[in-house]
Amino acid sequence: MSQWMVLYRKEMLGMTRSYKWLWIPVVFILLGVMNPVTTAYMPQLLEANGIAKEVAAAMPVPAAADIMLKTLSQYNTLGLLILALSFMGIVSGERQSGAAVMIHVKPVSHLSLATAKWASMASLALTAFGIGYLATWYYTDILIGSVPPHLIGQSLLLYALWLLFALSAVLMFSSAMDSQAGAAFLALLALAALSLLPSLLGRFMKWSPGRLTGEAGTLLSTGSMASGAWLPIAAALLLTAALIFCSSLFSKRKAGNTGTK
Amino acid sequence: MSDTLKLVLPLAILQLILVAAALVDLSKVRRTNGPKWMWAILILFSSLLGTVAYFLFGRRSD
Repeated sequence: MSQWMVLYRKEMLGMTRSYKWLWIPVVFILLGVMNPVTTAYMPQLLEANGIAKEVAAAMPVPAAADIMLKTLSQYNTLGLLILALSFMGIVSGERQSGAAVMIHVKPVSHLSLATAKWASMASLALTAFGIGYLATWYYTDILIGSVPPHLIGQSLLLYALWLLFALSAVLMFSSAMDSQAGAAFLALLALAALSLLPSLLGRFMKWSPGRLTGEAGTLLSTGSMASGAWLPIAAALLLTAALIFCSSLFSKRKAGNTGTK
Repeated sequence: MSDTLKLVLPLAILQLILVAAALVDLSKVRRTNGPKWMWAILILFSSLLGTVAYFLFGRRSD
């Protein structure tokens, strides 16, 4: 366990040194808070751009829950893009720089390295998402209207689960591939497929973790969870564990090749 | 202080912190991907996007 903590702290230190602990949470806050702010000041913004006051006043003001929903979908596009790009080299980058060899001089198991990496990614991503989401809630409450705290809490947990799954996909592709850009691209492609396919092949994709975002949205707008929500929740948990395990297998297989390129 | 300013000020401060951190890092690192002056211009003039691009692509890991 103490060895695992050393690995975890090493990852966290690396993220601090590359400013990830500063800029990713700040970007998540700004990305989220922009929604209630631009919505609330839309009439003034339109007027300033020469659009008649009457038109601006006739614009419907969306419900507070819709603002939170919009923020979640923004995290799902730009947020996931940022996370995938900043973690795309988390395993393959160390293989290329030779740091992986240094670590495996000691008897470190690939599984504990993979879980330590995943835990550090999760710490950062969940902190950034949590702060950003709560800041958005705060601004929405002031500018638009209130959303009940229990709905915020539940939707936050649902989306956090999807994020954990997404991070494990990035980790897996980063250990399976040598190209960092390729790993980010494939991870994003897989995540997009899991989000989009349930609406196309509804019956076969009921389990898709990509539905968690939709479930969080339903929760926000209707106030209650859909009855089939347990399936994607269970699938997300299982697949997250499976992907982390696959990641450690890929690292193990590739470990023989390090340094020889 | 008007209400609008009270709301927007924290966001402006956050963005300033981000830009400042990027510029401090840019001045400290030996080499970046691409010319340094280009990153300085991007960070200063393209608001959030340039700064994020610098942290993602400009910094070299070695």
